[in-house]
Amino acid sequence: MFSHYMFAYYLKLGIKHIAETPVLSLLIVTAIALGIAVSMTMLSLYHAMAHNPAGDKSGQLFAVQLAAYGNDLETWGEHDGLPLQLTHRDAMNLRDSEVPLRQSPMFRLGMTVESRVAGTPPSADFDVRVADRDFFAMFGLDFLHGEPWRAETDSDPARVAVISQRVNARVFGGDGLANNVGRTLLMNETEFRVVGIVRDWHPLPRFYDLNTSAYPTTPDAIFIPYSLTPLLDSFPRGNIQGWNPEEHLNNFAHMLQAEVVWQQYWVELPEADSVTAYKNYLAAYVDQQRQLGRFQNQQPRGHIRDTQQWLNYNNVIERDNRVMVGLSFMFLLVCLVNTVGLLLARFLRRMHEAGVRRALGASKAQIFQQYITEVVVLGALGGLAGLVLSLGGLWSIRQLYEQYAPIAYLDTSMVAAAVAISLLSSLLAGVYPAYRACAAQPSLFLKAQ
Amino acid sequence: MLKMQAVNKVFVTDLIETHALRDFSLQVEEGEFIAVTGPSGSGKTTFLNIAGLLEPFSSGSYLLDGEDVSLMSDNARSRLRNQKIGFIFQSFNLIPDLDLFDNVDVPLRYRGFAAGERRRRIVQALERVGLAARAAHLPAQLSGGQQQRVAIARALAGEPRFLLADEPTGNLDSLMARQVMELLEEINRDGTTVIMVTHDPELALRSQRNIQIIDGQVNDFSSNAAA
Repeated sequence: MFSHYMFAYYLKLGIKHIAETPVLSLLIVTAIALGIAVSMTMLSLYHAMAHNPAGDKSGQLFAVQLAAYGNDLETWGEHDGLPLQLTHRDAMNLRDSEVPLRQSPMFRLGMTVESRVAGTPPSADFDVRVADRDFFAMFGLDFLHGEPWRAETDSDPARVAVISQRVNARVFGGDGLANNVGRTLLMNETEFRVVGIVRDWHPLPRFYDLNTSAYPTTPDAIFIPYSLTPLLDSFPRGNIQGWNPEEHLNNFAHMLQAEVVWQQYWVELPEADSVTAYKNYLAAYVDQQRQLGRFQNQQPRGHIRDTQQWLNYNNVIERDNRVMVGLSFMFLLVCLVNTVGLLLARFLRRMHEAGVRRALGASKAQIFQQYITEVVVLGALGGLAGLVLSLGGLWSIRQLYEQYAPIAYLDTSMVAAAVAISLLSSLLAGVYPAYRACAAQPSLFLKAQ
Repeated sequence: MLKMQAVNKVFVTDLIETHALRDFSLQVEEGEFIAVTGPSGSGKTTFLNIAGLLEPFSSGSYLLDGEDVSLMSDNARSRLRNQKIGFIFQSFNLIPDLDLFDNVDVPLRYRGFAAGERRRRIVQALERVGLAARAAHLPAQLSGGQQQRVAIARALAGEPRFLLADEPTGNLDSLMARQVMELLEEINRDGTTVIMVTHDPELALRSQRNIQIIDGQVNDFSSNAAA
């Protein structure tokens, strides 16, 4: 039985032996730490990339795609012929559907906001999300003050804005928690009335808009009504793609009419029935547009993907990252094999002690437990050192690769994983050496010292 | 009581089968002091290892205080060894990186005694061998005779019924050897059964009974008291 009483004794012996053999102990700890550091660094990145910020609603939120190109190109250029974004015209049309519980077209702008805080630069540039009112409820933004603009504003444009805590602090001062609803925001020299203030919202990957980067360093900080789009006269931040070589974008007004895709479109479909109904709606919409002379390609169709499917479809986790995680765990395995060797050397050198303890009444199981406890201590030290090295590794990644800067951090689940992996892997590495140490005939080691 | 009946111990390798003990029968009564002699390789240590439950035997029966040890699990044999048997080795077999206190503590830990009881027994055992003042020393800081006395203290701390000594004076000069022998005799007088393997005929003569092992068999029984 592995009693608390004996565990304390084994722990004392383990720590004593580790202190008495600093070089060998350091080698073992280093081997474990290196394996843990490399694997945890890669796993942390992978974990952050694989995160689905939509959470429970992942299966209810769908990105909409339309094969909206003409017949003069065989494919759009995407592997399945489906553009990742929609034209403004299609986005406007899809808003008429009554099938989704919630829906919103959207795109991103950059706007300069004037600040009134003494001691700070007079203006700051922020990412602005242009969307419908449903955006907030659909993605679960948390309002500190106020609320989204009124439903009528989605059809009858008004210069109103919902701002994030960060913008609230930057523009009006304080910690961003103050209620500044009703105050005026000067953006691109135009006045907007603040109707709501939300907690900072920075889902990574930014699943609802994967255009320029899945892991943008700056989050959307201000939200304004989509109905303002024709009045904005400002090109979006993001990709603009078209298939018609004849189509030259002269100005923003032209872009609104042109067959170029630049907007995202998300719908919330909470039930299977509504999913089917929306697919039927899209099919009917495509047919209607064909009759109007659009969608003249070989495979005109609409398509929806839920959040996880959308992340997978966009290869948010690149194959290289999966390979790197695999390789890092191979490296951990190599480190563990080395650890097995070092532990064997450590324990076989102490066969005499094991023999003496056996002669004095220790069972094989007790010797095994004593050595495994020592391995756990070494594993914990290795895990701790590995965590510190992981932090260094992630810091290096943040310095070297800007695109990973927002996600190259250890979160609590990864810290827990590091501890668990280091203990588990050291236990695995320790089982064979500890077994060898306890299984030997004690009398072989008692005759000579 | 220790009773072996027709015990055989065979070491088998790819090339050769070695019979370390053949039809070995022996009965040791409570409180005896037995010297085991015989030429090198005759099976003395093998007998002592089997008697001390450190090695299994190939066939035969072995009863320790009436319990058939051949049927016991490793855990049960270890518990029995811990409770009833004390070992003293020629090479002392102290754990070098533990001080004297912790060395004597080893068998008591496996017995599960509380800290206070362990301390009492350790101090008492070290006092008995005259080394209580050096409890914090490491074995390497002691002479050979002192180390053997610590080993005796370690064996005594558990108050064993049987004390098995494998050439306990083999590495000691004559003065030290005499002191250790006197200590063993004193322990025996207190009621502990002592079985001592020795090459030294003079020491063997000081025991109550001398058993000679030749070629793995008990060759000769003699009672020194009767002689």
